[in-house]
Amino acid sequence: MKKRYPFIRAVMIVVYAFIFLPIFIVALMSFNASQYGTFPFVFSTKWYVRLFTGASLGGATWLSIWFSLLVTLTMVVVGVMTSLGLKRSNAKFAKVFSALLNMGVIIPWLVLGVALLMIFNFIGLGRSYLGMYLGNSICVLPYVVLLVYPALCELNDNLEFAARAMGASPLRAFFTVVLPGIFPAVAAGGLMAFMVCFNNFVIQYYLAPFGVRTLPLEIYNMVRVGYKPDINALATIMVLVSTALVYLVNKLGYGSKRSLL
Amino acid sequence: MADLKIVDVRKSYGKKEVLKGVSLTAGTGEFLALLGPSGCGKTTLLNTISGIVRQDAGQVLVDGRDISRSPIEKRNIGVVFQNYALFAHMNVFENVAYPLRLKKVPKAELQQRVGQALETVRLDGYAPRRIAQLSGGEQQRVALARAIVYRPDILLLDEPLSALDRKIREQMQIEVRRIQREIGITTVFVTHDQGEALSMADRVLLMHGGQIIEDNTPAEVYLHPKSAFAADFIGASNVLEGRYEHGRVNAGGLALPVGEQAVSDGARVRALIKEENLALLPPGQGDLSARIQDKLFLGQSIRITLRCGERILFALIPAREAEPLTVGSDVDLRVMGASVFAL
Repeated sequence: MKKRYPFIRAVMIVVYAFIFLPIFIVALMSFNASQYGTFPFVFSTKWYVRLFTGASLGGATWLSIWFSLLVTLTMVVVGVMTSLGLKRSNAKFAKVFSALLNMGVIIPWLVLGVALLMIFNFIGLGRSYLGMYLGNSICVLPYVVLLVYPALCELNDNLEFAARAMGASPLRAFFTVVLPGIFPAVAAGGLMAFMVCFNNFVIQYYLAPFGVRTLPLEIYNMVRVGYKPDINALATIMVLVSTALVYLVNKLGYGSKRSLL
Repeated sequence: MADLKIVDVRKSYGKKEVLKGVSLTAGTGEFLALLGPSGCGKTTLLNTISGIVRQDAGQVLVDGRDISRSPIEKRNIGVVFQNYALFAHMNVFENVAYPLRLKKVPKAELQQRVGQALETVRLDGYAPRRIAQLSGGEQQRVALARAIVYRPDILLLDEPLSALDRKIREQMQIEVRRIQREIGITTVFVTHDQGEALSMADRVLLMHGGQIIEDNTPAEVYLHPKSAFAADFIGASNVLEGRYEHGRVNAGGLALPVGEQAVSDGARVRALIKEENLALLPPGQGDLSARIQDKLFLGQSIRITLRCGERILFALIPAREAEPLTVGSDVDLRVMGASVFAL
């Protein structure tokens, strides 16, 4: 950034401060001994200890992790297959189909959640793990396709043809050449899917079976009764894990320079 | 090693007919160049041989065996693509080993054959390198090694040199030809660069509008084109339309002596005179006079713009001969060779 643009520079600093300052404060407070986030700052790790020993959040965290992993893995597979299909279909169909698919992003999740609950109640599924899985999948799939489809279109078709000419079956060519070629996008799609699913409070609020609490639901429950700094500790860990995941995907990106992650 | 035969292949995309019944044969070990302007169907024709494009009608025969219904991977054809299509996530060795691994070649033989292929393209010692570390010419060599390592019946090259710098391109022309001769593989080479086609191929097949309109040795195609399109497309020519009478073409007040031609007297003709076939002589010694209007320095040669009556003609002459010719001076012209076609 050159000094010739002081205004743009100032805007940039404000925007970044807006994004990062709250996260920084949460992280700072997670190490503060005071229960109400008051100064003077006294370093302590007791909230982390309580987070892990208190066990109030452990179950919810694991549920969220394995549930999000399940949604992510299945929707990455479906998303890659959808992208392949879109690429092979004619332009008009692809346009209509992707517009429909993107409804999962455009329609407010609140509306989607209520609508799905009504349908699930109507067909007798009600609040259930399956319902929650379907609801989250709908929200996650567009993100995977939005990332994977352009990468697939950008990938040189001749890579696949070259592999085929050398004797690879279509399936073999896909796994040895096409998939590695779009891997950064698939990984990014998976990461995005995981994040969206992991954080999807609204859908889970409506569709989770009674008595089952994923992490967002558990946090909501806790905050409703009273805010404790062990949530700061949890938030800090989640930020660190997310950052590490993004970094990892970037490293695995086969040196793709255009990756924005 | 095998011969290739294409019989009446047709292909349309929607209403656009890209291949209008193309037939050709290539003997074992022969090197064919498919030459033509973009959109002439040459790449589509190549893709019907490899199986990337399925033709609407017609057959592709390798050693008499019809492969035109086989999937790409069952055809045993080597393809080098314009942008090489190397696998960036594998190193040089793995790229070349890829087809052998598919065929489950034992490890010792695999290593020996990959080594041999890399040696053939003069890339010994490059095996552990990453693709991104290679120059364009080196990538081209890897693509070539990968396309020949599994001993395909036919080798297809789709404008493989067009992305290279001029110097490396000329080097690779010689290399590709050497490798092709060395392993004696039947080769079809697609290019829009006539220099490349003329210098590399045993036979040049000129394509235009989805058809092969000329099929001959490079020298014949260049010196004795059978069609006006070929005469115009290959080399730079002066094109004149007029009436042929007694060894002359009368066009716009100009009577160009073109020698005896196989067209009847009084016929309307198109005459094409290659720029290098227009000789410049001192005034009074040639067949018609002209004035030098401009000189364009091209390096080894010079393109001279001549005003000849109302017409503009171009002549290409060696640079050292152009030194005494100044803009504005008068010269005489002589036509050293012309192609004349009845309209």
